[in-house]
Amino acid sequence: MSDPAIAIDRLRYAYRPGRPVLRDLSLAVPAGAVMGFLGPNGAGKTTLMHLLNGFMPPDAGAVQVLGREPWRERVAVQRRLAFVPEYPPAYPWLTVTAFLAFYRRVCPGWDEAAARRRLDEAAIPMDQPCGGLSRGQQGLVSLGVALGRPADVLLLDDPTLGLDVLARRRLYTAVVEELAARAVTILFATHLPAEVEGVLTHAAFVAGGRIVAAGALEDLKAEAAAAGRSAALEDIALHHWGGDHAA
Amino acid sequence: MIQITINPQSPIPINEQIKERLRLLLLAGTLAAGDQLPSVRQLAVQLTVNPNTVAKVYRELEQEGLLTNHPGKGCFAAVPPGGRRRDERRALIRSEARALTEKARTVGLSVAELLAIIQEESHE
Repeated sequence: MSDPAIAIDRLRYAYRPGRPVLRDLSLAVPAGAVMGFLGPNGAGKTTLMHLLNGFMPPDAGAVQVLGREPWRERVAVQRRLAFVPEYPPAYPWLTVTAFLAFYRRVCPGWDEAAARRRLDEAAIPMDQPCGGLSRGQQGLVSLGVALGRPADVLLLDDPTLGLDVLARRRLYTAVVEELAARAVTILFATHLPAEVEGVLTHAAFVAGGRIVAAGALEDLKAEAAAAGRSAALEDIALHHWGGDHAA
Repeated sequence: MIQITINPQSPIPINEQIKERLRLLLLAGTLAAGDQLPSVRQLAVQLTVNPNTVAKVYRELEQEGLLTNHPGKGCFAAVPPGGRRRDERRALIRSEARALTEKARTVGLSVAELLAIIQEESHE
């Protein structure tokens, strides 16, 4: 076994003292895995994504991406990481073209042609301010830009939130094509397990700021079946989310 | 485009669902010998599944002798038209029949009633 692409050990984070969003969260994402990070809204998914990006330091515990600490070695980590946030891709007044120009400057090695091709396919109006695009178009801009990066790890933070069926389909297609084209580790945060199930190799269920179950998809399914429960990923998620996981 | 649908609610793993469906298409001759299958990438996009899953299914069907892989060209159906052994075709239908019998029982139909329905359907 090679080292995991993402290693999280007893991670703790609170925005306000005494109100931890993440409590002793431990998780390993094997290199090359596509792991679903499955939790209901408010489970701490976005907070973990931000810690993996090095936006803030953990209160306690350790986070490693490709063997480095994002907070201490943010530039080195960011170089090998692509992130699709759940919020809009850019300042709302920036046009898509201006956003691409900005990206070109801050991200060396970025494949602008690939990004433009994806935005073209999705018929994104390039001279529109990002804030004027539909939620679906914004999501596709974020993803199109992120996939143009030569990243080893791709973080997706609930990218289908608010997207219509067609935009969701485009987004999943882009992810599947990326997987077919090269080796990449993906952590895919979502509150909709049934939609992503086909793409996943692994899943982690988060509730109350902790991982309540994690592993290879086939093992999680076999475990559910052996316990006489439904082995559909959505039902496994409901089972794990349903318990009382508060401290 | 070949007709495969995945049921995410099903307890049957997705790779098994794809494999069963492809096996059915190959054994029934819907995909005849020499027919080209979609590429791993095409089928993965069509079904929104991990390309590695499709590649694994193709490898397993190749091992079963149901398709051949020509590197650089793609995967092709290997079954001669109608040439599958009869017992294999029977085994294929038998598993479907078992599921159907089970379903009939849960909705309170007798085997005789199930047979009558099959007969009606085949005359249509």
